[in-house]
Amino acid sequence: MQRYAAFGNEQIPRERFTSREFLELEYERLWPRVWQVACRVEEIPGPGDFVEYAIGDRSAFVTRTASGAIRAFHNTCMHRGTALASGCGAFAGEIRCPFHGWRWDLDGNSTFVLDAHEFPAEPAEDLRLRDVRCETYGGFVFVNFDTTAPSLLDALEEIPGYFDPYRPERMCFTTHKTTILPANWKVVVDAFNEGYHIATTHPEILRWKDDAALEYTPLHTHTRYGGAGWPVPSPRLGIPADEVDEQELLAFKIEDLVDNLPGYIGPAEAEALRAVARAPLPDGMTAGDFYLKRRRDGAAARGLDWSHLDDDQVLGGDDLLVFPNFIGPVIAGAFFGYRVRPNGMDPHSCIFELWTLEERAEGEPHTMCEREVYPDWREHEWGLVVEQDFENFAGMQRGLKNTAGGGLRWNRRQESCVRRFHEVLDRYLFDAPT
Amino acid sequence: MLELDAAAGETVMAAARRLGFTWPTVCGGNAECGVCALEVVAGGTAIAPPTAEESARLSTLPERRLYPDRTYRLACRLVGADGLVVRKRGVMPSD
Repeated sequence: MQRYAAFGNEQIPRERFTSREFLELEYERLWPRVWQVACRVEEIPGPGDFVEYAIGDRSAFVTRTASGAIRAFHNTCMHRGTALASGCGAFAGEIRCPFHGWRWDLDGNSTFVLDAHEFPAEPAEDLRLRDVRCETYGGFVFVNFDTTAPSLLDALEEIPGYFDPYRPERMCFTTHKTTILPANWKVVVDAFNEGYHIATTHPEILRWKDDAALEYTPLHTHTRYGGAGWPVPSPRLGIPADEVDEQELLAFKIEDLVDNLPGYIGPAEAEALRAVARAPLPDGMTAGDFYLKRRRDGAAARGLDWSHLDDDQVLGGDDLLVFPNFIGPVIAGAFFGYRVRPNGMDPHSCIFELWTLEERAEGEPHTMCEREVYPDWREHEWGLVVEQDFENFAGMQRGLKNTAGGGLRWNRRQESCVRRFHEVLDRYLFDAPT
Repeated sequence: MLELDAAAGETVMAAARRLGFTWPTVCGGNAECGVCALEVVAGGTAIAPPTAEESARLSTLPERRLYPDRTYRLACRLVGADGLVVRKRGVMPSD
């Protein structure tokens, strides 16, 4: 098993995407030690509401206690090991094992053992459910199976610096979709961690975005790319500056985002924006000027304060990878995130979720949307852009099994975030825990 | 404005390249990216209709959604004809 970091700029072995041994190493060295997004706070609004989070054979559930605190426990009964929570739902006041009826309060304290006198005496503390580290950031509930892990905020490092301005804590779910994709989980994370594929996989985006101008910022653990939000045709189209049609640009940008990437702009805003996609530009205004003004005016009308956000954050936002498996673009008013997990012991498929969030005005209620599950992604319309990405995955995984091409070659600039992700992964897999 | 003297059976993109021009493309002329799409301004009756492959690519062309009354074709697939007049931005002399 070769670590990647040792290769510097050299080619990257393919086995990390295809071997069962590598997957097992991840289950042993990565997933038990890393903070991972389990759910959002709006999924568990009241005491006893719960969401299960499973990674491989490990399962925890997150619940809200009577006092409103959020806690997570290992999902196993202290009696015969039965899982206590499945999927999501609500405990009726107490956590109860469906097998023999043992019960715990929402803080994990044992409250009932049937025929307790027939068991050896044991301190009540020993019958407590076993805690899983659980902390929240920006409305996201994270868990970590490592009791000695640093705090979530320490582990997030530079992420809040990028994410905070968008106020993720004021956002809530607009879609929650799950499917199985036919590729290793890292193939999928990598696919969303660069804009180098835009020109070939999403050529329609070239009409309004300078894809080559995206800035890549590999951080210490996480990654960020973004910028290039101002609508201009990609230089790959060769259109001279004096032949750019600003009216066309406006329509290309709005219609592509709203129609082909539903959820990237939240539904409350999308319709209003769509309505002005072909509106005549006021004299002297470029597509960028007009788009920016409409977004800012629309936000103000919905009671959102974006006065602290700069134009880049309103136009283009930031694509963030919260290591290891939560990735996606955040812009003013909305987040379009993917949570990706390995699918059991199969290195050739993964569990993929699309989470879209939209900002709510202060005081507006935060609600949970319907959860949709599509075992086969082709059963559902995801929007052109996401489907273009999905179309690639089966061929990527199939090709990776073929070792004839040697190692993989990554673009030194545009795939620098992909490189960083694998370097960090290798810290977990191959460096001794500190 | 550019007049191209296309050889028989030659695509518009191939004729432009042979005559020393670059035509915008990402996929290199494989009917995959749609970046080479041109607007047919006149002479459309003289050209062959698009194949199923070309039609599939044209169907998601952003330009077609924006201007449904205009005729778009892929320069990498459209074979030139006498009197054909097309509009395309970004066609430049090579070097």
